[in-house]
Amino acid sequence: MRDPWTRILVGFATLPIVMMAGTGELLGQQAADFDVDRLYLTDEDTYLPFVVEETLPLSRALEQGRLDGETSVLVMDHPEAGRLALVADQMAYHHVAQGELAGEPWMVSF
Amino acid sequence: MTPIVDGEVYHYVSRGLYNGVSILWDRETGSVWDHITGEAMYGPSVGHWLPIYNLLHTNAAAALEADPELRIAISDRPIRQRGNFLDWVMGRFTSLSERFERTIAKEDKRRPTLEVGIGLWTENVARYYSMEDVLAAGEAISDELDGRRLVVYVEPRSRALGALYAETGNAEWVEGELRLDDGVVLREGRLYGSDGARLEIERPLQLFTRWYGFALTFPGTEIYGE
Repeated sequence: MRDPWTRILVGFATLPIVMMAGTGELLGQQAADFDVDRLYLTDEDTYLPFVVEETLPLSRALEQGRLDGETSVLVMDHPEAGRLALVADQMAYHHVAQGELAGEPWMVSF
Repeated sequence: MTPIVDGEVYHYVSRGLYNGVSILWDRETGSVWDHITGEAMYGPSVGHWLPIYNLLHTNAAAALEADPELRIAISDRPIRQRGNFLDWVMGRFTSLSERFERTIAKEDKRRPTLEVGIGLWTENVARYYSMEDVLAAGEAISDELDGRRLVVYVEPRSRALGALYAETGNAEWVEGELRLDDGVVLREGRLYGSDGARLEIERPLQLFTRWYGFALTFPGTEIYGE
Protein backbone atom coordinates (compact mmCIF):
# COMPACT_ATOMS: atom_id res chain seq x y z
CA MET A 1 0.00 0.00 0.00
CA ARG A 2 1.27 3.42 -0.88
CA ASP A 3 0.18 5.61 1.99
CA PRO A 4 -2.08 5.85 5.04
CA TRP A 5 -5.13 6.85 2.99
CA THR A 6 -5.04 3.52 1.21
CA ARG A 7 -4.91 1.62 4.48
CA ILE A 8 -7.87 3.58 5.77
CA LEU A 9 -9.85 2.97 2.62
CA VAL A 10 -9.26 -0.78 2.61
CA GLY A 11 -10.93 -1.08 5.97
CA PHE A 12 -13.61 1.45 5.26
CA ALA A 13 -16.99 -0.20 4.83
CA THR A 14 -18.80 2.27 2.61
CA LEU A 15 -22.42 1.45 1.96
CA PRO A 16 -23.04 0.41 -1.63
CA ILE A 17 -25.26 3.41 -2.08
CA VAL A 18 -24.13 6.69 -0.60
CA MET A 19 -26.29 9.67 0.18
CA MET A 20 -25.54 12.59 -2.11
CA ALA A 21 -26.58 15.96 -0.78
CA GLY A 22 -29.30 17.63 -2.75
CA THR A 23 -30.02 14.78 -5.10
CA GLY A 24 -30.72 11.72 -2.95
CA GLU A 25 -28.97 8.42 -3.22
CA LEU A 26 -27.19 7.85 -6.48
CA LEU A 27 -25.42 5.08 -8.29
CA GLY A 28 -21.84 5.22 -9.42
CA GLN A 29 -18.41 3.94 -8.63
CA GLN A 30 -17.63 4.04 -4.94
CA ALA A 31 -14.62 5.20 -2.96
CA ALA A 32 -14.42 1.78 -1.29
CA ASP A 33 -13.54 0.23 -4.64
CA PHE A 34 -10.94 2.85 -5.53
CA ASP A 35 -7.67 1.34 -6.74
CA VAL A 36 -4.93 3.88 -6.13
CA ASP A 37 -2.52 1.90 -8.32
CA ARG A 38 -4.60 2.94 -11.31
CA LEU A 39 -4.71 6.61 -10.41
CA TYR A 40 -2.74 8.91 -12.68
CA LEU A 41 -2.24 12.10 -10.69
CA THR A 42 -0.01 14.94 -11.82
CA ASP A 43 2.14 16.85 -9.34
CA GLU A 44 1.24 20.20 -10.84
CA ASP A 45 -1.76 21.70 -12.54
CA THR A 46 -1.80 20.41 -16.10
CA TYR A 47 -4.77 22.51 -17.05
CA LEU A 48 -5.54 25.80 -15.42
CA PRO A 49 -9.12 26.00 -14.19
CA PHE A 50 -11.27 28.84 -15.49
CA VAL A 51 -11.87 31.20 -12.60
CA VAL A 52 -15.02 33.00 -13.68
CA GLU A 53 -15.14 36.60 -12.56
CA GLU A 54 -17.38 38.10 -15.21
CA THR A 55 -20.14 37.04 -17.54
CA LEU A 56 -21.98 38.73 -20.39
CA PRO A 57 -25.24 38.10 -22.22
CA LEU A 58 -24.86 35.33 -24.78
CA SER A 59 -26.75 37.50 -27.27
CA ARG A 60 -24.12 40.23 -26.95
CA ALA A 61 -21.25 37.76 -27.29
CA LEU A 62 -22.81 36.57 -30.55
CA GLU A 63 -23.34 40.12 -31.80
CA GLN A 64 -19.70 40.90 -31.04
CA GLY A 65 -18.58 37.83 -32.97
CA ARG A 66 -16.81 36.35 -29.98
CA LEU A 67 -18.39 33.05 -30.93
CA ASP A 68 -20.90 31.97 -33.55
CA GLY A 69 -24.19 30.14 -33.40
CA GLU A 70 -22.59 26.80 -34.16
CA THR A 71 -20.08 27.07 -31.34
CA SER A 72 -20.66 24.30 -28.82
CA VAL A 73 -21.57 25.44 -25.38
CA LEU A 74 -22.26 23.77 -22.07
CA VAL A 75 -25.17 25.13 -20.10
CA MET A 76 -25.00 24.83 -16.34
CA ASP A 77 -28.37 24.69 -14.62
CA HIS A 78 -27.71 25.19 -10.92
CA PRO A 79 -30.69 25.51 -8.59
CA GLU A 80 -29.19 28.37 -6.58
CA ALA A 81 -26.56 29.93 -8.83
CA GLY A 82 -28.76 29.80 -11.93
CA ARG A 83 -27.94 29.15 -15.54
CA LEU A 84 -24.68 29.95 -17.27
CA ALA A 85 -23.15 28.96 -20.61
CA LEU A 86 -19.51 28.04 -21.08
CA VAL A 87 -17.66 27.42 -24.35
CA ALA A 88 -17.14 23.66 -24.73
CA ASP A 89 -13.85 24.03 -26.57
CA GLN A 90 -12.41 26.23 -23.84
CA MET A 91 -13.66 23.81 -21.21
CA ALA A 92 -11.91 20.96 -23.04
CA TYR A 93 -8.73 22.75 -21.95
CA HIS A 94 -9.70 24.05 -18.52
CA HIS A 95 -11.77 20.98 -17.54
CA VAL A 96 -12.95 22.97 -14.53
CA ALA A 97 -14.72 26.32 -14.23
CA GLN A 98 -15.60 27.78 -10.89
CA GLY A 99 -17.11 30.96 -9.60
CA GLU A 100 -19.99 32.53 -7.78
CA LEU A 101 -23.33 33.67 -9.17
CA ALA A 102 -26.09 35.32 -7.18
CA GLY A 103 -23.87 34.81 -4.15
CA GLU A 104 -23.81 31.05 -4.68
CA PRO A 105 -20.61 29.11 -5.35
CA TRP A 106 -20.72 26.78 -8.34
CA MET A 107 -18.32 24.55 -10.19
CA VAL A 108 -18.47 22.80 -13.55
CA SER A 109 -16.26 19.92 -14.63
CA PHE A 110 -15.94 18.67 -18.20
CA MET B 1 -21.79 20.99 -8.82
CA THR B 2 -21.78 22.94 -5.63
CA PRO B 3 -18.16 23.06 -4.40
CA ILE B 4 -18.94 23.30 -0.69
CA VAL B 5 -17.68 20.75 1.82
CA ASP B 6 -18.62 21.12 5.46
CA GLY B 7 -19.53 24.75 4.86
CA GLU B 8 -16.25 25.64 3.15
CA VAL B 9 -15.79 26.43 -0.54
CA TYR B 10 -13.22 24.08 -2.03
CA HIS B 11 -11.28 24.90 -5.18
CA TYR B 12 -10.92 22.26 -7.85
CA VAL B 13 -8.59 21.48 -10.72
CA SER B 14 -8.35 18.62 -13.19
CA ARG B 15 -5.16 16.79 -12.31
CA GLY B 16 -5.19 13.36 -13.80
CA LEU B 17 -7.13 10.28 -14.82
CA TYR B 18 -8.93 7.33 -13.31
CA ASN B 19 -10.94 4.78 -15.23
CA GLY B 20 -9.97 6.64 -18.37
CA VAL B 21 -11.73 9.85 -17.40
CA SER B 22 -10.40 13.00 -15.82
CA ILE B 23 -10.53 13.39 -12.07
CA LEU B 24 -10.94 16.42 -9.88
CA TRP B 25 -8.44 17.34 -7.20
CA ASP B 26 -9.14 19.91 -4.50
CA ARG B 27 -6.54 22.39 -3.34
CA GLU B 28 -7.80 22.38 0.26
CA THR B 29 -7.25 18.70 1.14
CA GLY B 30 -5.61 17.14 -1.92
CA SER B 31 -8.45 14.66 -2.28
CA VAL B 32 -9.41 13.04 -5.57
CA TRP B 33 -13.03 13.41 -6.69
CA ASP B 34 -15.12 11.72 -9.36
CA HIS B 35 -16.01 14.46 -11.81
CA ILE B 36 -19.28 12.78 -12.84
CA THR B 37 -20.81 11.60 -9.57
CA GLY B 38 -19.22 14.21 -7.30
CA GLU B 39 -17.93 11.59 -4.89
CA ALA B 40 -14.62 12.01 -3.04
CA MET B 41 -12.81 8.85 -4.13
CA TYR B 42 -9.47 9.11 -2.39
CA GLY B 43 -7.95 11.23 0.34
CA PRO B 44 -9.15 13.02 3.46
CA SER B 45 -12.48 14.00 1.92
CA VAL B 46 -13.68 10.44 1.37
CA GLY B 47 -17.25 10.20 2.62
CA HIS B 48 -18.22 13.53 1.08
CA TRP B 49 -20.20 14.05 -2.11
CA LEU B 50 -20.69 17.28 -3.98
CA PRO B 51 -24.27 17.98 -5.05
CA ILE B 52 -24.44 17.50 -8.80
CA TYR B 53 -26.67 19.03 -11.43
CA ASN B 54 -26.99 18.72 -15.16
CA LEU B 55 -24.61 20.28 -17.61
CA LEU B 56 -26.30 20.31 -21.00
CA HIS B 57 -24.43 20.16 -24.29
CA THR B 58 -25.78 22.30 -27.08
CA ASN B 59 -24.63 25.14 -29.29
CA ALA B 60 -24.85 28.89 -28.87
CA ALA B 61 -27.79 29.36 -31.26
CA ALA B 62 -29.89 26.66 -29.61
CA ALA B 63 -28.99 27.87 -26.12
CA LEU B 64 -30.08 31.39 -26.98
CA GLU B 65 -33.33 30.14 -28.49
CA ALA B 66 -34.14 28.24 -25.33
CA ASP B 67 -33.20 31.12 -23.05
CA PRO B 68 -32.77 34.62 -24.58
CA GLU B 69 -31.54 35.95 -21.22
CA LEU B 70 -28.77 33.36 -20.87
CA ARG B 71 -25.35 34.68 -19.93
CA ILE B 72 -22.00 33.21 -20.90
CA ALA B 73 -18.50 33.18 -19.43
CA ILE B 74 -15.69 33.27 -21.99
CA SER B 75 -12.11 32.61 -20.96
CA ASP B 76 -8.94 33.86 -22.63
CA ARG B 77 -8.38 30.55 -24.42
CA PRO B 78 -8.83 30.48 -28.20
CA ILE B 79 -12.06 28.98 -29.54
CA ARG B 80 -11.07 26.48 -32.21
CA GLN B 81 -14.29 24.53 -32.67
CA ARG B 82 -16.72 25.49 -35.37
CA GLY B 83 -19.46 23.48 -37.03
CA ASN B 84 -21.32 20.38 -35.98
CA PHE B 85 -20.95 19.38 -32.35
CA LEU B 86 -20.99 15.65 -32.98
CA ASP B 87 -18.33 15.86 -35.68
CA TRP B 88 -16.22 17.81 -33.23
CA VAL B 89 -16.72 15.25 -30.48
CA MET B 90 -15.98 12.34 -32.78
CA GLY B 91 -12.88 13.94 -34.18
CA ARG B 92 -11.22 14.70 -30.86
CA PHE B 93 -10.23 11.13 -30.02
CA THR B 94 -10.12 8.11 -32.27
CA SER B 95 -8.63 5.75 -29.69
CA LEU B 96 -7.66 5.68 -26.04
CA SER B 97 -3.99 6.39 -25.45
CA GLU B 98 -1.86 4.11 -23.30
CA ARG B 99 -1.99 6.68 -20.50
CA PHE B 100 -5.78 6.38 -20.41
CA GLU B 101 -5.74 2.60 -20.69
CA ARG B 102 -3.35 2.22 -17.75
CA THR B 103 -6.01 3.68 -15.46
CA ILE B 104 -8.65 1.15 -16.52
CA ALA B 105 -8.87 -2.27 -14.84
CA LYS B 106 -11.41 -3.95 -17.08
CA GLU B 107 -13.33 -2.25 -19.80
CA ASP B 108 -16.99 -3.04 -20.42
CA LYS B 109 -16.94 -4.29 -24.00
CA ARG B 110 -20.67 -4.54 -24.59
CA ARG B 111 -20.47 -1.43 -26.77
CA PRO B 112 -17.60 0.11 -28.78
CA THR B 113 -15.21 1.96 -26.49
CA LEU B 114 -15.55 5.41 -28.04
CA GLU B 115 -19.18 5.20 -29.10
CA VAL B 116 -21.09 8.39 -28.42
CA GLY B 117 -24.32 8.23 -26.45
CA ILE B 118 -26.11 9.58 -23.45
CA GLY B 119 -26.12 8.05 -20.00
CA LEU B 120 -28.97 8.66 -17.57
CA TRP B 121 -29.04 7.72 -13.92
CA THR B 122 -31.11 7.86 -10.75
CA GLU B 123 -30.60 6.48 -7.28
CA ASN B 124 -31.65 3.06 -8.54
CA VAL B 125 -30.65 2.62 -12.13
CA ALA B 126 -28.29 3.79 -14.85
CA ARG B 127 -29.06 3.39 -18.54
CA TYR B 128 -27.09 4.19 -21.67
CA TYR B 129 -28.60 5.15 -25.04
CA SER B 130 -26.29 5.11 -28.06
CA MET B 131 -26.51 7.91 -30.59
CA GLU B 132 -26.93 5.23 -33.22
CA ASP B 133 -30.06 3.85 -31.53
CA VAL B 134 -31.60 7.29 -31.04
CA LEU B 135 -30.98 8.19 -34.68
CA ALA B 136 -32.45 4.87 -35.81
CA ALA B 137 -35.58 5.55 -33.75
CA GLY B 138 -36.25 8.78 -35.63
CA GLU B 139 -34.08 10.90 -33.32
CA ALA B 140 -36.37 10.42 -30.32
CA ILE B 141 -37.04 7.53 -27.95
CA SER B 142 -39.88 7.38 -25.46
CA ASP B 143 -38.92 5.22 -22.51
CA GLU B 144 -39.34 4.67 -18.79
CA LEU B 145 -36.53 5.01 -16.25
CA ASP B 146 -36.97 4.09 -12.62
CA GLY B 147 -40.75 4.42 -12.86
CA ARG B 148 -40.85 7.73 -14.73
CA ARG B 149 -41.57 8.32 -18.39
CA LEU B 150 -38.97 10.25 -20.33
CA VAL B 151 -37.82 11.12 -23.82
CA VAL B 152 -34.29 10.86 -25.16
CA TYR B 153 -33.78 12.96 -28.26
CA VAL B 154 -31.32 14.54 -30.65
CA GLU B 155 -31.31 18.28 -30.22
CA PRO B 156 -31.81 19.45 -33.82
CA ARG B 157 -29.50 22.45 -33.93
CA SER B 158 -26.53 21.13 -32.01
CA ARG B 159 -27.06 17.42 -32.81
CA ALA B 160 -26.27 16.63 -29.17
CA LEU B 161 -28.35 14.15 -27.17
CA GLY B 162 -30.63 15.28 -24.39
CA ALA B 163 -33.31 13.78 -22.16
CA LEU B 164 -36.31 15.15 -20.32
CA TYR B 165 -39.06 13.73 -18.19
CA ALA B 166 -42.46 13.66 -19.90
CA GLU B 167 -45.58 11.61 -19.27
CA THR B 168 -45.76 10.36 -22.80
CA GLY B 169 -45.77 7.07 -24.60
CA ASN B 170 -44.80 8.62 -27.88
CA ALA B 171 -42.24 11.09 -29.18
CA GLU B 172 -41.92 12.10 -32.80
CA TRP B 173 -40.12 14.88 -34.62
CA VAL B 174 -42.46 16.68 -37.00
CA GLU B 175 -41.44 19.86 -38.81
CA GLY B 176 -38.71 20.70 -36.34
CA GLU B 177 -40.69 20.14 -33.18
CA LEU B 178 -40.78 17.12 -30.91
CA ARG B 179 -44.39 16.11 -30.49
CA LEU B 180 -45.39 14.17 -27.39
CA ASP B 181 -48.75 12.87 -26.17
CA ASP B 182 -51.57 15.26 -25.26
CA GLY B 183 -50.33 18.01 -27.56
CA VAL B 184 -47.15 18.72 -25.61
CA VAL B 185 -44.29 19.87 -27.86
CA LEU B 186 -40.62 20.69 -27.51
CA ARG B 187 -39.85 23.57 -29.83
CA GLU B 188 -36.62 25.56 -30.01
CA GLY B 189 -35.53 24.14 -26.69
CA ARG B 190 -38.73 25.10 -24.91
CA LEU B 191 -41.56 22.84 -23.81
CA TYR B 192 -45.18 23.86 -24.40
CA GLY B 193 -48.47 22.36 -23.28
CA SER B 194 -51.43 21.77 -25.56
CA ASP B 195 -52.77 25.22 -24.57
CA GLY B 196 -49.54 26.86 -25.74
CA ALA B 197 -48.41 27.69 -22.22
CA ARG B 198 -44.75 27.18 -21.53
CA LEU B 199 -43.91 24.26 -19.25
CA GLU B 200 -40.93 23.81 -16.97
CA ILE B 201 -38.50 21.20 -18.28
CA GLU B 202 -37.48 18.58 -15.75
CA ARG B 203 -34.55 16.40 -16.66
CA PRO B 204 -33.00 13.23 -15.28
CA LEU B 205 -29.31 13.36 -14.44
CA GLN B 206 -27.58 12.87 -17.76
CA LEU B 207 -24.22 12.81 -19.43
CA PHE B 208 -23.55 13.12 -23.16
CA THR B 209 -20.55 10.86 -23.26
CA ARG B 210 -18.40 8.15 -24.69
CA TRP B 211 -19.56 4.65 -23.78
CA TYR B 212 -16.45 3.57 -21.88
CA GLY B 213 -16.52 6.46 -19.42
CA PHE B 214 -20.16 5.99 -18.52
CA ALA B 215 -19.84 2.21 -18.25
CA LEU B 216 -16.83 2.46 -15.96
CA THR B 217 -18.48 5.06 -13.78
CA PHE B 218 -21.72 3.09 -13.55
CA PRO B 219 -20.64 -0.56 -13.60
CA GLY B 220 -23.29 -2.86 -15.02
CA THR B 221 -25.28 0.01 -16.50
CA GLU B 222 -28.31 -1.00 -18.50
CA ILE B 223 -28.17 -0.44 -22.24
CA TYR B 224 -31.29 0.68 -24.05
CA GLY B 225 -32.55 -2.03 -26.38
CA GLU B 226 -30.53 -4.85 -24.83
